[in-house]
Formats: sequence, C-alpha cells, structure tokens
Amino acid sequence: MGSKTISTIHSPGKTMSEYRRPRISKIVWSRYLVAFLLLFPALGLRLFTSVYPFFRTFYFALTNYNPAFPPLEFTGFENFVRMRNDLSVSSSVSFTISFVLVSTLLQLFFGVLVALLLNAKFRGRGFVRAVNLIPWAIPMVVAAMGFRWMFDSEYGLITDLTYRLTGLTIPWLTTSLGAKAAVIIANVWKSTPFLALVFLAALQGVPVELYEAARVDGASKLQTFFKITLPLILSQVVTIGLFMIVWQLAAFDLIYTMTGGGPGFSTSVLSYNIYRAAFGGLNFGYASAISLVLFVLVFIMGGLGLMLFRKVEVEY
Amino acid sequence: MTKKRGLSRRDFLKLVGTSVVAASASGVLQACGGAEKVTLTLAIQAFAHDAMKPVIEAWEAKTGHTVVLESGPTTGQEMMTKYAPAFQSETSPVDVLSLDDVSGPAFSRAGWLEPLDDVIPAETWGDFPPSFLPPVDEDPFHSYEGKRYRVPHEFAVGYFWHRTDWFEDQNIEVPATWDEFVEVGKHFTSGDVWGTTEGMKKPALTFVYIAYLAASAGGKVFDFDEGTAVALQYAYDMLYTHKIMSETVLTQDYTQQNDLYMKDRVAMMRQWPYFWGVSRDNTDWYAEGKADITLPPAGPAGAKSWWGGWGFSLPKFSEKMDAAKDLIAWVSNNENAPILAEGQSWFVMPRTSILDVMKGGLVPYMGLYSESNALVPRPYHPKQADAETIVDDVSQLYLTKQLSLNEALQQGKDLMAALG
Amino acid sequence: MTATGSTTRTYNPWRYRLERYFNHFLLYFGVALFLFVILLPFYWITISSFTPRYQMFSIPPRWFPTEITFENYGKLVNNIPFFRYYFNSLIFAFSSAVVSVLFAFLAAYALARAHFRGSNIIFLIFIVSIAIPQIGTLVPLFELYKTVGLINSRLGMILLMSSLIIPFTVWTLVSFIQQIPKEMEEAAHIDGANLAQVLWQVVVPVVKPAIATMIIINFIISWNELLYPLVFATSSATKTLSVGLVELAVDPAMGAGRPWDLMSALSVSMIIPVLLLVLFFQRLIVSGLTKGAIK
Repeated sequence: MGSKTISTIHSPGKTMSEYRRPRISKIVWSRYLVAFLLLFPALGLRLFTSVYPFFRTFYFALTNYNPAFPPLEFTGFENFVRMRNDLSVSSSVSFTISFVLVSTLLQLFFGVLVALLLNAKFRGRGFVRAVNLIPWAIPMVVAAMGFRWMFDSEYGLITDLTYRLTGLTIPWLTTSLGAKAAVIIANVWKSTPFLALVFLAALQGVPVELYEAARVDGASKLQTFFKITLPLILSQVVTIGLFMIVWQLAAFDLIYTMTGGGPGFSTSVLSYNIYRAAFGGLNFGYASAISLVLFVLVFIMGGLGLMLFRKVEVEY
Repeated sequence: MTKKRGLSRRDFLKLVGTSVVAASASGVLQACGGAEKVTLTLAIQAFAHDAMKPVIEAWEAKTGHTVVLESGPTTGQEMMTKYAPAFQSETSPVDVLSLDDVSGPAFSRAGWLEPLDDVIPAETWGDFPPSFLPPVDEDPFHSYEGKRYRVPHEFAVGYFWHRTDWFEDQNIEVPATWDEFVEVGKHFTSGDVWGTTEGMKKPALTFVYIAYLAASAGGKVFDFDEGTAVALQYAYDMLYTHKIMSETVLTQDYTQQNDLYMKDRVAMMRQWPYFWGVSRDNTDWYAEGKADITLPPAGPAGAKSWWGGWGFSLPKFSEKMDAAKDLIAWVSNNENAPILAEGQSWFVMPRTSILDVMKGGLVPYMGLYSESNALVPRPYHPKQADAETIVDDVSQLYLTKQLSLNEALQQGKDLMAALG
Repeated sequence: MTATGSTTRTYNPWRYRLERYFNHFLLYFGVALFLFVILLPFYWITISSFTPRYQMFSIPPRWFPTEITFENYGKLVNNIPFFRYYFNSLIFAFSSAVVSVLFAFLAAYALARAHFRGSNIIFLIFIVSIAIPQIGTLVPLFELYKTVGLINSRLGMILLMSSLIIPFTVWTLVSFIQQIPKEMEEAAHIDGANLAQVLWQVVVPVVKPAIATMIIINFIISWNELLYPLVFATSSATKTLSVGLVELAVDPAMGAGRPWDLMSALSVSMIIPVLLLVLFFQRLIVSGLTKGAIK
C-alpha cells in the first residue's frame, strides 16, 4: 500500500492545484464538514466537561445549593458576603498566590540549573537523565505522602537531616512558616525535573558554534551563560513559567495529602477550600463562589504572565 | 516503511483492540458481581472490626448471607466526603453504616437514611436509658422530624487519663483544678516528656478539644461566648505560656497522641473511651496504673466533659434492604451489645443489657462521670457540620497565632451568624 | 578546538590542570547532590515499605534498614481491596489514555491540515481551556453526572480524564503532524482513498511513534490522577489506587491512623508500573513532553 502511494506522487506532469481547481467550492464545503467531524469528539468533550461547568459555576455561586438542605434558593451575593468574613478563604488567597509565585520561581531557577547539569558531559549521564524523570512520573499523592512523613517532627528523615547538619530541630509541619516551606519544597521537588527536561531540550538546540566562539573570545562560564545560553532559552523559560503559574494555581493533591491546609490555615490553598466546602460540608453554592475567586485569580495571573511573555517575545 | 518502526500497524491494532476488550470486559464483570448471593457491606472504623467479627459470623451462620467489613471514616467530615456523593446519586456503596454525630443528622436530614423505628425492635430501643437516648422529639442527634435514623453503639466521653504510677512514685496528687493541672503539667514537662498532649489535627479534632475545655469553662462554643474565650485562652497558655503541651498537637492525630502517651512521654491527657482498649491491648507496654481514668480537672464551671457517640444507620439506597434491616437489628440487639462491649471498649454504653453483665472495665468510670455530674451533651447546631468546622477553623487560627483572641471570637461570631 | 584551549593556557599547566580537576569535582558533586535529592523520597518510601511497623516509629529515624519484611504488603492486601483498586487503576488509566489520544489525534489532524477560517480560534480554545481549573468545575460536573447517571461509572470517569488531557495531547500531536509532508496524503486522496483510509493507512503509520508516546504519557498522567476518582468513584468497584492511598493518608483514623506501613507499601506498588514505563520508554516520553514546549 505504502509503495503504491509513493509511486503515484511522482506521476509526472500534474501538480496538486491542477487536480483541485475544478471542484474548489465543493472541496471547501466538505473540508468544513470533515474538519467538524474530526474536531467534534475532542471539542464536544471539552465543552461538556469544562466549558459548560465553567459557566454553570456562575449560577451556583448565587445560590444556597446544599444537597443536605434543600430546596435550592437564589440568594444573590450572600455567598460573597460570607466569604468576605471568612478568613479561611482570604488567607487561602494570599497563600495560593505566594505558593504559586515562590514555587514557580524556584522551579525555574533549579530547572535551568539541573538542565545545565544534565547537559554537561559526565559518566552515567543517561542514567541520571532517566532518574530525572522519576519525580515527574510518580503520583503527586505518593510524593506528598512521602514528604509528609520525611518532614514529620518526630520520625522524619528531613527533620533528622537538618538536625544533624545544623543542630536545630526545625518544626517543619507544626509551625506556619515551616509548613509553608515544606509544601513548597515538596512542590519544587516534584515539578523541577519536568522543567529541566524542557530546558535541556532547549539547550540542546543551542548551536555548539556559539559556545566555541565564546570560548575563543575568552568569555568566562558565567558570561557565556548570561550572554548566550539564557537569551536563547529565555522564551522557553517564560512560556513554561506562565504555564506553571496557571497550572499550579489549581494545585490540590499536594496540599490535600500533605498538610490538609494546616496548621491553622497557613498552607490552605483555594482549591483545597473549594473541595472542603463542596465535599466536606456539602455547601455546593459556597464552593462555587470560591471557585469564581479562583477563576478570577487565574485570569489575573494568567493575564499578567501573558503580558510579561509578550514583552520578552518583543525583546528577544 | 512500516517495518522500520518498532511498532507495526498490526501491533498497534492489537493494542487498541485489547484496550477496548479490556474496557468492555470490566463493565461486564462489574455488572455480574454480586448479582446472585447477598453480600452486605458494613462500614465501621477499622479498630472495631475484630470485636464485630463474632457477632457478624453468628449472623452469617443464621442467615446464610455474607458480610464484608469495610473500614469507615473516623470523622464526620470524612464521612460526608466519602458517602455524600454516592447518596446524592441515589446509590450506596454500603448497606449498614456506623455514623457519627455530625454526619448522622446531616444524612437523615437530607433524606438519605431509612427510618429505624420499626426496623429495630422495641426491646432494643427500651434498653437505652432516656438520659442516653432521649425521646424522639428531643434528640436531634439520632432523630429527625419524629423518626429515628441512628441506633447508638457508642457512648463517647472524653475521659481524663493519667499515669497513676508516676503520680504515686513522685507523691503528687492528681490535679483537681485547671490551675493545679498547669502546675502538675509543668512539673512533669522536661526533655522529651510533656505534661499533657492532644490530637488537634484538622479537620474536626480541634473542635473536640475546645468543646471539652469549654464545657468545663461553662461556655457555649457555637456562641463564641465568654466561656469559650476562657477555654481558648487556656489552651493557648498550655501551648505557649506554660509550655506543658507541644506545638505538634496542632497537627497531631489520635494515633500519634496515643503513641506519645504509650511511649511514656505524657503524664495526662483527654482521650476517647477506645483508648481503654488500645492501652490495654498494648501488652508490651501496659501495666496497672499506666492508663487510669479520673474526673477531668475542674475549670470555672466545674469538672465537665462532653459526650456524643456513634451509631448504626441504614442508607436508604441499599439494594439489599431486607437483609440490611435484619443485620442492623442483629448487631444492635440486647444479646450482642454486651458481646461487642467485651470485645472493644468503644462499644461500652450505659444501656441495661451491658450494665447487667459488665461490672468492670469502663463501666465504673461511666458511673463516676455520670454521678459526678461531669457529663455535658455535645453542643448542637442545626448545621452541625458547618458549625463544628467554624469552631475548628477559628480555634486553629488562634492557636497557630494567625489571629488574636478577640479577632478569633469576632470571626467565629460572624461566621456563625452567616450560617443562619 | 582543544588545541586552541591548551595553547592559550600552556603558560601555566598546573593551574589549568587544577582548574580542570576542580571543575570535574564540582560537576560530580553536583550530580551526586542531584541524585541524592531526587532519590531520597523514593528511597525512603521503598525502604519503609519493607520495614516492620514497630521499627518505623523510631527516633532518630533509621536511614538504613536493619530488618526486611514483606508483611506490610500482606497487610495491605488484607486491609483494602488492593487488587480491585489495581485493576480499576489500570482500566481507568489505559482507557483514558486511548480515548484521549484517539480524540486528540482526530482533532490534531484537522487543526494541523485543514486551514479553514476559525481553525486558529478552535486551537486557541483548546489551549485556553487548560486554564479553567479542574477543581472549579467539580460542582457543576457532579450535578451534571448525577442527572445523566454517570457517577461511580468507569465510562464517566474515563470521559472526564480524557477531556482533561486532550488539550495537551492535541497541542503535542499538532506539532508532530505538522512535521509530516502533506504530499503523501494528497496523493492518497487522488488515488480515491477516503478520509478514514488516508488517516489509517497513511497518517497513522507515520505518527505511530508519536501516538504511542502520547498513550504512554497519558497513561502515566491518568494513573496518577487523584481528583476525578476521588469525587466520582463512590464505591470500591471504581476506586483507584490514588484514592485508596489518600483514604489511608488523610483520615486521622483513631485506631489505625496514619498507617505508614500500608501507605508506603501501597505507594511502592503504585510507582512500579510508571517506573517501568519510564525506564523502557524514557526517550519517547522525553520527546513527547518536550515536543509541545519547544517550538
């Protein structure tokens, strides 16, 4: 079959456009139909499971919907009034933002660092690169559980390690600051390798001649990095950064498994709040209202990120 | 050109084909499972399974049905999270369910449970004294709109446990008041050892402790009144002023709390009745005097502790309702209640059939608490789950120093008002 | 090149050598540190799963095992419907991977080839819809599923999961398909092949590696998924391993709570399939993951 097709391609004398010309309008029309048919399953599924629920949330946010307390009533902005007084939500908003920003910056920094490391020549590089995939591949719940335990104030490996190194017993999960640091560390551990992978691919695309030219010019390693490497991978860094910000705003698994938002609300994120309101308290209306806050946050941070992205695109 | 690639088109077809077959086969399997013989699922906390087994086996022998014991959640919140989605879609993964004071009222109110008035025989109902199981219209925890939806299997009091051996060795009196408690706590706190401990992990467990303290302070937790303020302040002082309780209690669960106690690192603590069984089953560690019960230290309003408990319910959507009805009547009847109580201290209740045959164990302490007027009923709110969550949240915010006491109380009042 | 490097520095061979050693040392130190950080949690979970429970709670923690046991795995099988969950996870992950790649492939082909008005907009919709947080749509989805009776159904969960990963899959497949020259398909068209034939006989053979890659990647992502099974699987007939793990981990159980022995054994069982995939298909996975990101 394959060979037959190839032979017909080379049939001399005729070009594609000559075949097409007489039936153009019919082809255009059928093209639309075909494209529609091809797109339908994927697009339909997205509409059904993502776009429709998105708009439906706006309606639920204005109701007192709670399956254990029927009937559903339209309550206007009552949910938002309640939310204004709800410190668990307001503190979640601020931690969500700092969690996402700090995580993303650290992930980018370490991502580039690891990519440089994996790009260097050393023995066993293939193995190390395979190892790099592990954090990406293992389930977030497993990672979160592992870290929850390693940070345990009594039996934790990391607590023990920091004690051996510094002589200090760091109250990782029992204090506000410690818990915040712990979830961010776990999050950075989980996602940095993926970023490193992308940056590594970008690094491999940088022409070797550039480095060699720089070396001839006597540029130091640091200079080479800032003058050559970084500008060339910067657009990737910004794209991935933007993606990570939007993606991590909705992070749920880690917080849910590792700290449950505690202690207090110091590590509570909006997605955890939504889940708790919806499936812990059955307050579907209230959960929808918190979802709207999350949507707005995604919109704002995504928009700001996009602006930054544009700026970088223009400059480089 | 197809040969070059590792994956031929035929292989690819196979891959797709297998997946389709596997997917549809799973559907068929699912449809077939459990069609003919009646297998019931009973969900109850894992530590009670061993005690349940003899009772269940007797029922299986009697009826020919099979029962699978599933481990149920341990808090109301988890209970709702786990079962509410199924109930909402009018299905139930379990046939008989042990429910707590939070999920029980919520589920019966939502209409997801089967009324038990006629399912449980009158002699069983009559076995509970009214002080434990009040009349239908006075008991929001087991009844709703004139019908009973939950038959109690536990009488949960937060007992005050202490190391009699330590107190005797050092010739110290067991503290009778909050002030003495702090003094004694300071005395025992040194190095790895703490005066007291608690499991206050979120969600739900902070409420338990604050409501316990508020009972002795004479506060109504859901009002965030003066008494509640005293209770919160006292908890705060234990953590940060007197340092007789480690900050880790804020993220600790009951297992960690018990582990700490049974590693000889705690002198006194509040804990649920099941600790009687847990401590005494730990034969490597347990010796007489290591886990004794006495009245809680008296706060401004006296020595008080609140009680609540778990009970069996029937989800309305069980597909094997007849067998399930028979099972729930069986596990709660007057013959089996003492068997369960002997098996696990969790099942010890002040009901006649148990008190008649059981004289030891927890029973005398139940009497002590009852006669000393130490028992306060669980604080009630029509939206129990939400109200307890608010107490839980606000207390955690205060105890982790994210709010001042006044801010916390105001926040609590605001949130309760918004609940309606 | 190396000649240039050595000539400029021949005036001080010792210094040069020292510097080289130092750089070498730095590099290997970096690699060692990296391996330590990446493998530590993995190592710890694995070791714990073979440690008897009574040894788990020791202060300070044991960095190396002194006693190996398989009893945690035995206990795990007795405590939760382990094989059922495993089977459910396999079905869920594999079906989601196949369905998502199938749908995404069709859409990606349309977007890569047919340049009709609005095709860019549709592509944009796909990409932007990634930004709608999964968690924010749960309540309406739950309501919708309740109405159509898809709660606690495999099909329902697979559709949701597929939908979640379709945008990323489309994005990646589009860039794969765009690399193939159009001529072969056009020739097949001319030969009178219909669209299905063109797709199956011309396009699929060429993008087969890409499709296999995406099936592997999507399998891993679905295998690891927590939120959808957590909400929509309400009985052990559909629950997956991730839900099983979370049920062990999150509930502050009174008697058995935080059963690290069971949790670590379950974690290791859950990691094994993805680890095998990573080891065997490292190159494919890397190409799939970086394809969409690098343009």
